[in-house]
Amino acid sequence: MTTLFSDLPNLNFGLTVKQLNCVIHPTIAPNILDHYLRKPEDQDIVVGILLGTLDGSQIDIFSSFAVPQYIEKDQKELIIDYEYMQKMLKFYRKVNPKEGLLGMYISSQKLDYHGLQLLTYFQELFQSEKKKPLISFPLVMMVDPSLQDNKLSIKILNLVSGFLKKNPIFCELNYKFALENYQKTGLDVLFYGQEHFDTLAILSMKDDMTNEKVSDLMTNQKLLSNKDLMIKNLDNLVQNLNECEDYIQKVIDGKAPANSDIARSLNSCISQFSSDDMNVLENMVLENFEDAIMINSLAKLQHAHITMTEKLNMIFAQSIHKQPAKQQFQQQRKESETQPATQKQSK
Amino acid sequence: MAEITGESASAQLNRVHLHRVMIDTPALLNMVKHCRDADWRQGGQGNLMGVLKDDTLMITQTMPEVNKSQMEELTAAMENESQKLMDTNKVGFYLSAHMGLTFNTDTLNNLYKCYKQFKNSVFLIYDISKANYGMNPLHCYRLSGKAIETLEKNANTTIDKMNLVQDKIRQSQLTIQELFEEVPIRIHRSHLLQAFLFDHIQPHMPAFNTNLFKLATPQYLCNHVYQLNEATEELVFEQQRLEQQQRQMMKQQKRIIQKQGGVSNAPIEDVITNKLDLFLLSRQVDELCNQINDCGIPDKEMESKLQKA
Repeated sequence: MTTLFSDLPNLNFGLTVKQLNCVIHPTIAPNILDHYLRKPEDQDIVVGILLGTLDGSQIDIFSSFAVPQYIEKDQKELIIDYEYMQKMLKFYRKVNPKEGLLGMYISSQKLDYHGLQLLTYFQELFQSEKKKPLISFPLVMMVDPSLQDNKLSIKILNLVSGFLKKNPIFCELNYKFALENYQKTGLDVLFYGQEHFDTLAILSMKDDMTNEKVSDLMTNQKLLSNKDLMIKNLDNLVQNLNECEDYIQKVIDGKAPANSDIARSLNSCISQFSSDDMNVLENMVLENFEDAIMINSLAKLQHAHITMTEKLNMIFAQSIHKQPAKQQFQQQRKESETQPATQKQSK
Repeated sequence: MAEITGESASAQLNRVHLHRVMIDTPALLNMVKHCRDADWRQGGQGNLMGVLKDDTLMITQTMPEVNKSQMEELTAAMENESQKLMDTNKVGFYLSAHMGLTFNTDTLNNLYKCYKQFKNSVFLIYDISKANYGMNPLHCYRLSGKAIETLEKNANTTIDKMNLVQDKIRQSQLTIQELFEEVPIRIHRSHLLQAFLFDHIQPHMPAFNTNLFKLATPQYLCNHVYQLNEATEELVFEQQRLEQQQRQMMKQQKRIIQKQGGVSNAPIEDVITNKLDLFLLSRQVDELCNQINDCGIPDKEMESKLQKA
């Protein structure tokens, strides 16, 4: 006997799920991982609060802070430092009044007994009007720092139904990281501001690195100066363009298989500029380059002026300082000239 | 959190040569977020927390500064908290600025106060305008040894103002560039953070900082030249004021000599004039000039790269 799909009962009857999209600020995950690295050894998971804004169906998670908690082994009771949490909440509200309570984060891939106790606690917290949460049920952001499956998995769950306390029903929300304006989040400094020689950087490099070379490079590792930064970025740009050129040539020569997706991406990138645009850009750069050289020279002149003023000030101050000594010398000389005259008179 | 051993404890009390400042990624990102969210007029300001390890100052936390009483309450709560979720040793402060315009008496006062509590304290500047143009926005400074010797509190205890007098400047041979000492910064990424960046962030980041292309327009230099003009005007005004003061002192000295009817051994009282404003304004102008020179032009290596691209 076959059952038609249309005959099946509607399992979602009575459940309403609002489709929410999450945008996570890049500070959230590093803060959670830092909290995990600082946890006491006897603690399995770490928990904290998420703060952000809600605009229609978009949730922006901007801030987070750690909440000290642990499960007492004998009585299996959850203990949370409520006062600390209150103070931190008040502090973050003062720093950014636009951000409100959104949910909690937990460093685990599954919600076990401990996790469910925490969830129940935060649910009750969210019911309190004084806390002014932005949503009625807390979001649950699950981060797995144990790197199972060789990946740092992140999930955001929204509670759909908490009717069955032991088996609440969740739905997983779509999320993405706020990467559009990376200069506003600090990712520009993190990725482009310094030469890294850690595992992530070495995997991305094409040259072979030895342990000795890495340790030598790390002793003087620091943020790049502006000139080095520009040279590095331009080097990357040139390298990328060369790679594109090599790929196109290989496809033309039949050495590499053609990929229509890559071709479309290259076409959309290069076709943004027409030859007229390139002429305008070249003229603009040349004109600005001359202006920039002039301003650069004026700045050096100003710099020299300040240095000279400083030196003159130092010399003037020294001459003033020496002035009393000079006057004293002159007085002694006068006295010595008058003394022989008086001695002659007395004789 | 690192425990302070005997050697490090003595280093905490004494000023040591700092090879570099190492900042943890979460601290850096939190600091940038706060600076960006802060009001553009007031700018963001906050505290740096961390620990000194040999010749490296490690900044592990950054926290925005709110009112004093709340900060004290919060710091006490963090210190009393059993799990020690955050470091509470204050090692300096950070502030946001546009075009590095932050060398003023408030910053110097704050830095001196931090120095009194922790001899190796530093201050970080996050330059928003540089970040918008793809340049390096982070700089770390501290008071140089010479500056500390030279600075002294005003003898008049009712006015809590710092003094930079000529005889001390002459004794220590302090120059404008030597007032603040720049310390190199290194960003530290933990292994878990690398996993996060590799899985979630790096695939979506461009291969180079595309904001550098904004330097093709003259906006960056125009802003700097405008600010340089303003700062130079203030500097010239201060120099004229000091010059006038010196002339008055010279006239006064001549009158005293004439009244006494002979040679006076008393030194001209240039040694008590406070030159702090002059130094700070000069440093500000110097900084703006350095930023203009640091645009990467003209440079033979830069020219060849531009031609290649």
